[in-house]
This record gives sequence, C-alpha cells and structure tokens, in this order.
Amino acid sequence: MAETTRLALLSGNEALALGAYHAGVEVATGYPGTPSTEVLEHLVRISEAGEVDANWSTNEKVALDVGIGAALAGKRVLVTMKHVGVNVAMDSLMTSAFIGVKGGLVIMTADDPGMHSSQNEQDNRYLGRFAGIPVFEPADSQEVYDFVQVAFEVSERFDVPCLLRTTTRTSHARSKVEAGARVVRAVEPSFTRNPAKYVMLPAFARERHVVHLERLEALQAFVEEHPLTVEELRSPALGVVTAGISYHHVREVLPEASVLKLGIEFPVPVERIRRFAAKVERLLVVEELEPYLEEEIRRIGIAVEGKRWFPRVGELSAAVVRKGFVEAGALPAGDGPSARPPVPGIGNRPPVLCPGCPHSTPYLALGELDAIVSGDIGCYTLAAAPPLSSMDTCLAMGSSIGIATGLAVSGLSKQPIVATIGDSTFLHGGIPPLLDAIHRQANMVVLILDNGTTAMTGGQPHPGIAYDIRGRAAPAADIAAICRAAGVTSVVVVDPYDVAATRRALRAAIAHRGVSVVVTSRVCVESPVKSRGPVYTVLSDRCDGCQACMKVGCPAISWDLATMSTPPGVKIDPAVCSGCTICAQLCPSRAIVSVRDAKAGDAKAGDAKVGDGKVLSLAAAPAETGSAR
Amino acid sequence: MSRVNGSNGKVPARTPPARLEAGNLVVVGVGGQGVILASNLVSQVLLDAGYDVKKSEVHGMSQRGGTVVSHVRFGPEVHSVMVEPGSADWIVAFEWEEGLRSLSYLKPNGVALVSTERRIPPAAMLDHRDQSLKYPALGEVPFGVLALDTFAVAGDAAAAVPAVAQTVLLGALSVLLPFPVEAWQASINAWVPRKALTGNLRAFERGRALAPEVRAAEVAARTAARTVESGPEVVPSASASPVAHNGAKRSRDGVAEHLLPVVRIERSWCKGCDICVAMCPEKCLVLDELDVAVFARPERCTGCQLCALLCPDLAMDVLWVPAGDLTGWLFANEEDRVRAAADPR
Repeated sequence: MAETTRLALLSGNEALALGAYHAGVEVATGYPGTPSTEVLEHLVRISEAGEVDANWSTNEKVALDVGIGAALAGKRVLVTMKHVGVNVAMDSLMTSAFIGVKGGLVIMTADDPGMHSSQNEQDNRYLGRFAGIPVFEPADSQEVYDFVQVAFEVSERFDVPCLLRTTTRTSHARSKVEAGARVVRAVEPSFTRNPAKYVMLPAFARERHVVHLERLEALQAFVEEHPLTVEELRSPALGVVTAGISYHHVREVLPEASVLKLGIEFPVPVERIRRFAAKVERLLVVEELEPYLEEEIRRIGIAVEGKRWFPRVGELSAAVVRKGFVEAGALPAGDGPSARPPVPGIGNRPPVLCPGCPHSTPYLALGELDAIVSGDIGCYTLAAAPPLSSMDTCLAMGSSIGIATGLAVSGLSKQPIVATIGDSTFLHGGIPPLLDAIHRQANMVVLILDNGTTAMTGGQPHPGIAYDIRGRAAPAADIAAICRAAGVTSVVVVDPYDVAATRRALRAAIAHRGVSVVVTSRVCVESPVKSRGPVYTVLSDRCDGCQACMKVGCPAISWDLATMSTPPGVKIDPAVCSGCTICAQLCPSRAIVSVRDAKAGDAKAGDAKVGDGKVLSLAAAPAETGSAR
Repeated sequence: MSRVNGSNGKVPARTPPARLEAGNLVVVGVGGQGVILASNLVSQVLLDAGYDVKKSEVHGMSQRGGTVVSHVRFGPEVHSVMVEPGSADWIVAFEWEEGLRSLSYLKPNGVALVSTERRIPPAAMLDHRDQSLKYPALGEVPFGVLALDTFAVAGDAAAAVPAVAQTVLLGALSVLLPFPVEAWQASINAWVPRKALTGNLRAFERGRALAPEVRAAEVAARTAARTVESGPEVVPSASASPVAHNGAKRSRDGVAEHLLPVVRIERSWCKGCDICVAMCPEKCLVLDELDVAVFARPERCTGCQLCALLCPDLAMDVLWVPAGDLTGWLFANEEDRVRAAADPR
C-alpha cells in the first residue's frame, strides 16, 4: 500500500476510505455524488487491486445490491452514495435488515445541508431509522476513521447493515487523523444456502420481521452503554444534546456548556439522554436540518428546545449557532465578531459550463427552437441559468425522460418537448423511462449528452466507459445501440462541436413523430484529460459587438476592457480558451479566428473553415479512452 | 505595483511575534486558480509548526468557474471548521472581486492581500442591452486591503505558468506569520508540481520581498481599527463608482445614452427568407402568419444591426429612438404587428 497523503490532514472522505481499508474492507462500490465521491477514489489510491475490489456501480441501488451480495459471501463491504442516492437504493435498503449480512456492510450517506451541490437537503437519519439500521454520525476526520471501524463490528455482531452519515463539512473538511494499520481478514468467500433468511418470500419475511424487531431491542440496549455517546459535564446551567459537525460549533461558541454528544443516532440512547437531562437545568438540542433528536427526546417526555432557536434550513456554522444561543438567551446579545458590510458593486459568480463544454451547443439550439426542455442532474443543469436559459424542469436522477413523457402525453403541441440527460445519468436511471416513452408512443425527443464521463462529480467512469475506476480496460455499453434495441427508430449521433450539424439533428428529431433520440458525442473538455486546441482570438476591427458569441456563456469571452471607449467589442482570454471553435462558428462577422491564423495575417483561412460550418480539428486529441467507444 | 489604503509610506521596523496562539486564514479565488493547493501549502507550514489545524472548503460546483473559498484555522485545539464572518486575521485573494467579496470575513484589524487579477464572469455581462459590466472597479482600495498586481510582482517567475503569479501572495503572507522562510520553502517543495517549482519559489521570494509594504498594510489596518469604533463604521472606503461601465454606451454612432435601438421593417419588401430571424443573436424577430418579419421583442434588441446588414432585400434598418413608446418610429402598417407579436417571454 502506498501512502499518498502528504498532508497529515485528512478530509473526512479520505479518513473514511482509510478507516474502511484498515477495517479490512474487501469490496467497495457506490455511485458518484457530491460530497461522497472522494471516498472510493481515495480507497483506490491507498489500496491494491488485489486487496479491495473497488468499482463504481450503475446506480446506488445496484451498488447496494452488489454490497449485500458480497457481504453475504462474507466480505467486509463499503457502499458510498450521497443523501439523495439513498432514495434510489431505498427499495433494497428497507428489506436489507431482514436479510442481514455475514461480512460487515457499511453504507455511507453523505448528506448536503445547505445544498452546496444537491437538489434537496433531506436528513437521512430518518431513512436509517425507517429501515431500522444503526446510524453513525462522526464529527471530524478522526471520528470518521474510528466510527467506520466500529460500524463494521456492529454490522457483523448484530447481522445488520450500518449507515454512516457524514455531511458536507465532515466529508470535505480536513483535520488530523491518527491511524492504525490494515487488519487482514483471512475470510475465504463462502455462501451458505439459507432461504429462510435470504429469500424474502412473504412466509419467510414475516419471520424475519420478528427477528428484525428483536434485533432493534438488542441494539437499543447496546447503544445505551456505548462509548461513542460522550457526556461532557461542565456548567449545570445549560446542557446541549448534539451530534456530528454541530458538536464543534457548540464547543466553539459555548465552551462552558455541558454537552451530550451522540455518535450513534439510531437507535437513540434515550436513557443516556434522560440521565444527562437530569444533571442540567435547561436542555437544548443543536442539530442540522430536521428536529430528529428533538422529537425523540420530546417523545420520552423530556422538556427540550431545539428548532425554536436553530434553523431547519441550511447548514449550521459557528455564527448560526451563536445567533441561536443569543436568541435562546444562553449568550448575551452582541456576542461574537461583527462582520463588515459588503463592498458595493459586487456581482454574482455562479458556476458555469467550462470553456469548450460540449453541452453548450445543444442547449443553444434548444433555446432557438423554443422547446420545453425537461432536464436532469449533471453539469448541464447549469444550462437552466442565463445566458443559455434552456431548461424548464429538473427533479431527480433520470427524471427528465419520464417528465417529458408526461408533458408529451398531456397533449402539449405548440412547442417541441425534449428530455435532456447525460450519459452517466442515462445509464443510472434513464433506460426504464425510455422504454416507457417508446411503449406509450410519446411524441418527444430524448437528447443524450454523451461526454464520456460522470463530469459533475469530477470525471468518474461508468458502464458506458471503456475503463474502470482503477484505469483498467472494461467493457463499455453503447448508448446509441441501447436506444435502438429499446425500439427507437430514429437515433442520430452528432458532434456537438459542429454547431450547424447539432441544430440540424435537433430539428430533424423534432420533426420525427414518436420518440427520437439524438446523442451528442464529444468527450468532456476536463476529463479524463484536459482537451486544449489552438486558442482563438477576436479580430477587433471585425467585431461589431453583436454578442452572438456571448450567448454560449463561455467564461473565456468577455468585453474587451481596452476598447471600452470605442465601439464595444469582445475578447477571448487565451489562458481560459480551450480552442473548441464554438464561438467562431457562431460569429456572423467572422471576427473570431485562431491565434495562429490571426498571427499569420491569414484571417481568410479562418473564414473558410468557419463559414462552411465544419469543425476544426483539435490539436490535442481527446483521450483514447473517451473516444474509443 | 502595490497600493495600501491608509498607508503613510513610513515603514516601521517591526518583527512578527515569536509565537501565535491561534489564527484564522481565508483563501479565496476562482475555480482553477489553485486556491486549494495554496491552503494546503499554508496548512503544511502550520502543521509543521505544531498547531492543530482544520481546513474546510466546498468543492461541489466550484470547479465550474464559481467562487472557491478555503478556510484554515489553527491553534492549540480547533473546533469549528469554518471561519466566522468578522474573524479572519488574514485573507489571501487570488482574484479582485472575490477578494472584495470575502472582506466580510476580515477582522476589523485584519489584513487582506488581494491580487488585482480580474476574472470577469459571464454573469457580469448578462445585460446585453446596455452592455454594462457588473464588476467592482480597481479604483479605490478598501480599508485593510493590500492590492497587489501579482503578475507585475512575479514578472518572469510566472512566464512559463501564469498561475504561479499568485504565489506572490503567499510570499507576502509569510511576512505576517512567524515562521522561518525554510518552512515555507519546504512546503512549496512538498506541494507544488515539479515543473512549476522554480517559478513558485521565485514568485514566493518576490512576494516576501514586499515586506515593507505588507508590514505597512498591517500597521495601517491596526491603527485605523483603533481609531474607528467597531461596528458599522468600519466601512470599506468603497470606490465612488464601483461598477465599471462600458464607457461608450452606444457611442459608436454618436448616439446618446437614453436612446434605444428599434428595427424598422418595410413589410412590402420582406419575402420571408427567415435569415434575420435565424441570425438575430437576441431572437428579437419572428415571422408572422404572412411570413413577414416582425420586430417582436424590442426589449431584447442590442442594436447590433446584423439583421439590417444581412437582409438580402434591404427591407430593414436600425434606428436609435428615445426610450418609451415606439409609436411614430415604425412604419404605420408595422406598429400593430409589433404589438400583436409582443411576447412576454
């Protein structure tokens, strides 16, 4: 094993990978999703292929099923996903406690309070409770490292999967970790037939439900005395029950308060809470998102305050917790640092599609076609923002196609209806709704934005890619062939760097009755390698400031500040330009040419290439892996 | 090369304290500028000096050109991973606007080392009508800020890799922190890719050579903070004109600012070829049921004249008219059409 971390500070995700590795994990899987993605990536960095079978799964449910299978074979298994990913896995998760495990099975749910990169901020402690499996919540990287190892032990001891909940700030913050070494588990894989436990026929499931409930009682007793619940008695005036990252905010803001810190949040150690409550005059709960602990405490008849003072929306910070304590009267008004007012004149800096993003031209074309666009989850969701402004709905992974089908069968006929979905998202959850749309004969277009990676989360491979997480060759699914096999008669593959061809393909697909599929195929500019071609520049004497190029929203294109007092013109930042040629193809004045042509004074050469709508070849060819499919 | 707000030019001979108890640093910039690398590098120095260190940033969508903020906290025992607003001792900003945005984190007597590099986001240019730019001017430097033209300071050190220029800021930061230069060099050695190592070490040295200016900025911030009551009066002396503006708003034809563009169409000459409709960057034009072009979305028109230039029948021209009702400016038979076609979208 090569220790690659130079900084002694580990992120929570790195600590989780290291903790699982040291706990002897042998199978690891998941689906990428911020803030969970780095766990599997780090595990691959610190382990050999022979030690840990790590791979991304098609989606979270598949990942959990793979994990359950490997656990039944006796392996210790880690499954990672973001909070909304657990929804996808929920079908299997709800019955997983009935079947149980043999080897330990730990499922990481990375919650995202504040929705830094998510469509909602659901509190997955409820999902653990719903499924009846233990929920662990660490507060920093050291605890992540320690808790994952405890979770594996609990999983095996109680024959139940365990949920390890992190939040964005535990996953992505870095702090010191003291680590041990890998425990090599000499477990030969074996499978013992046991239909009464593993086959959830109703007759068997009824018996397993009883076992499940008995296990919950045993877990309750176990948690009551577990050392992961820590009581810190200081001032008796105020006691705070808290868990996870909120613990550190409380310690920061109110260092003299007594604290009961929970490491396991399901089952809730209610007797420990009762004993703690008896030692303090006033009891508060500080927890992010939902009043989960607050409700549990109130249910056992103890007076407690929580969401009355602390917000249910967004993530907590020291400042937010301080404000809550001030309002609750636990801190004097005006406590804490005061911030300066904002400097006037500062605009927003929302995330944008990268320079040369192959997703930009299809959305540009859709805007021109005035389509109702049902979007999906990925980088391309950013096309909802100006200037592209070409997305009308976005709900959950794979929802685009089903929502478009619903719009189409409702008889909307004035505007074309287009579902847009990325390659990874299509494989994740787009195939069943595509079959549905075909079977219903819905009149709609499915635009599959195939950039050969899971780009939004940093470029992870998926089953449509010819390599796996360790970079080894792997069979790749052919998306166009899948669509044809599903029964789509009109499947067109087009290069989105060819603006005219993209427009033509979309127009033709809209004209087609029934479900038609357009696949825009061009590897992501950032992953697996950065694609950079000859840089483009603006001939200022030709630019008349029509802003056609600005419609792309490319971060390389801006007003030329040097010509602010003369006719307004644009310029291209050579350090940012990827050489994709999209703006050059859009420029009606043919003012955008490659730096090479501009230098050679041979602007005509640029004209000819741009004028006939052909795509200039890129000097830096995309990686073989991406284009090999 | 550098401008200090509140500096009187005198440089006090002063060395940093031998040992800091604790501190908060915020490093900001735009995705891809190396903010995370820089905060890792500083964290390494702090760890080597024996502090407990916590570091936090949000990845997520920041790689898509968004703001990147990294918080580094150190001390004997650090709890919360985030710096509270108003409690950063130092800010290191790789980009001008992000530097100003992050000032809410700065302590009243804190120092912000801000690069004058400008990364103007597409969102600052969304108003195609007035071609304005919503971006703070470099003009006056807010209180507590040391504005550094990092490219000028770095000079040839950043010739090969432009991003190296920002290492100047770490050199400047090193003046304010009581760690030996060797500790910084070791951290740079450990963290920076080989090919950019020499450039980074030189850019660091050039930033560190700005010690007089940096110390002056620190003293200025402390002095000013003492004279100003804490609270809302600690207002940055913001630029008089914070929004840079495309000065010659519509000046190309000598047209005054309050005029707006109007596309006038001679309906009888239009044969409905659709060229103007397809080419208009703002999609202002549509064909009506008679296949005649109509100026349907006047509110979007930037007056670029593409339609008039491309029309094969010379059926349209662009006028600049006073803002308000278009009546009287269009051909009589066109006015009703424009009203009919007016689309709230």
